Amino acid sequence: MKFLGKFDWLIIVILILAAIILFIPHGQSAPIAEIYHDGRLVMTVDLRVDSHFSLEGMEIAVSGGRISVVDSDCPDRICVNQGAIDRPGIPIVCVPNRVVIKIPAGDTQFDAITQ
Amino acid sequence: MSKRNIASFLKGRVLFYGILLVAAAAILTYLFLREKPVEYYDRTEYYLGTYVTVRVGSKTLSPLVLADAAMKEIKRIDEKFGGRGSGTIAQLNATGQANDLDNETMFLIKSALKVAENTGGAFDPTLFTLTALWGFDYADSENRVPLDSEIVSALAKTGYRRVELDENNMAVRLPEGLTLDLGGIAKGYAVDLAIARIKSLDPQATGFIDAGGDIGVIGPKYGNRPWIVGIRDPRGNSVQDVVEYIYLYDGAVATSGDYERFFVVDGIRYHHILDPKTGSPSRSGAISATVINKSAMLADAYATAAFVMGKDPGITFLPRYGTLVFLVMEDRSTFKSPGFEVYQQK
Repeated sequence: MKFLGKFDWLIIVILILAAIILFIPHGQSAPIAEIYHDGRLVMTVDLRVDSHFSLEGMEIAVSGGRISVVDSDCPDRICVNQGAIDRPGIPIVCVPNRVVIKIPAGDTQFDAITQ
Repeated sequence: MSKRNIASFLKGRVLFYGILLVAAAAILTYLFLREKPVEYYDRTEYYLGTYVTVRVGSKTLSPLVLADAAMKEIKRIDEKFGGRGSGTIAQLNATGQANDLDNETMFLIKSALKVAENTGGAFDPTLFTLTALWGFDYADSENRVPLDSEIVSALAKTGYRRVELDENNMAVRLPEGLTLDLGGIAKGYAVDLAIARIKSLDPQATGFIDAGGDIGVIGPKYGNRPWIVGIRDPRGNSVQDVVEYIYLYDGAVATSGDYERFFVVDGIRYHHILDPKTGSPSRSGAISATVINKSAMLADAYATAAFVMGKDPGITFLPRYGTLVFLVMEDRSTFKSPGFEVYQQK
C-alpha cells in the first residue's frame, strides 16, 4: 500500500508549480520615459518605438531605446547638450521650459547622480 | 485490504494534508504580519534654479507629509535667498549696508566667509560682478569673453576679505561696488534645512534630497543600506554616464564641473567657475570636483573651491574641514583625498 496515491502526487506537483510561478519575479515592465511640465506628468513615451515630437518649444526624439532633446528654443540649450538617456537616475531637465524628461526608476545601479 | 490498513492509510493522508494546511496558514500569517519594507515616495519640484527631488520613507508618518514639509522649507529658502531677489541680500547689495539681520542670514554669510577663508579664497562669495561680466549670472544672460581691462576693473569689485561683519549688531557692510552672492551655498543650505525639518518630524525617516546634483542623505536606504550615488562623467556623451560610484549612509555630496554652464569661442571652453585670482574661468586642470561633507551647504561651497584649487597643495588641507575630494583632471586622471575610498565601499 502506497502512502500517497496518484492524485496526491498530482496535487503536490500542482502546488510546487504554483509556488514557482508566484515567486518568479514579474517581468520588466515596458521601458518608458515620463515627461513632466511644471512638475506635472504630461505624457509618457514608449522607448521601444522610435518617435519624434514637439513639446513646449522642444523637439524630442526617441531612437534606439534612448530619448533626447534634439532642439529647443531655450537660450542655454543645456537640455540638448545633455544627450540621450535610457536609464533612470538622471533626468533631462530644461529649466527655461520647465520640462523634465525622466525614466522611472526600477531596480537600478544607482539612486542619484552628483553633477 | 484489512480495516487496519485502510485506517492507517487514511491517517497518513490526513496527517500529510494537515501539515500542508498548517504550513500554508503559517506562511500566509507571516507574510501578512511581517514588517513591510519602507516604501519611498518621490517628489520633484522646481526651486533655486534647479529641480529638487525629495525621496523619503518613514515607518510612522506619511512620506507625503514629510516631503511636503521639506519642500516648504526649500521654497522658503528660495524666496529668501534665491533668484534675482528682493530680499535682504539684494537690499544689502543695493545699499552696501544692512543692520538687524536675522540669525539665518548671518549664519549663511558667516559660513560663506568661513569657507572662503579655509580655502584661501578659492571659494569667494563676492564674485557676482565678474559672473555677470561673463554672462553667467542668469540663465538668459548673454555669454561673452570680456576684455582684459573689463576683467581687471571687475576684479577690483571682488574680495571676500572686504566684507565687514559686525556680529554684535548683526550688521554687514560692503565697500562700494562689492556684491555678496550667496547662490553658491543657498542650495546646499536648503537641502540641509529640509533634512533637518524631516528629521524633526520623524528622526527615523530615511531617504535623500537631490537639488540639481547636490545630494544630502536623510537616512540610509531601508535603514541599513547605502544610497548609491554616481559621479557624473565630465566628458560623457550623456548625463547618465558615470565615472565612479560612492555609497552614502549619511552626509552629503556635491559636484562642480565645467560642463554645467559653458560656452565655446574659437575652440576654447569658457565655463562658469571663475578663479577669484584671475577673474577668468578656472584653469586648474580639474574638470570636475566632487566633495563629500556632512553638510550639503559645505559640500557645495568646497566643491567649487576644490575645482578652482585643482591639485594645488592647498587641497590636502580640505580633509581638516571634514571635506573629502574627488577630482577628475583634464587628462582624465583622478585625484582622491585620503579617506575618500571609504565611501567607495558598500
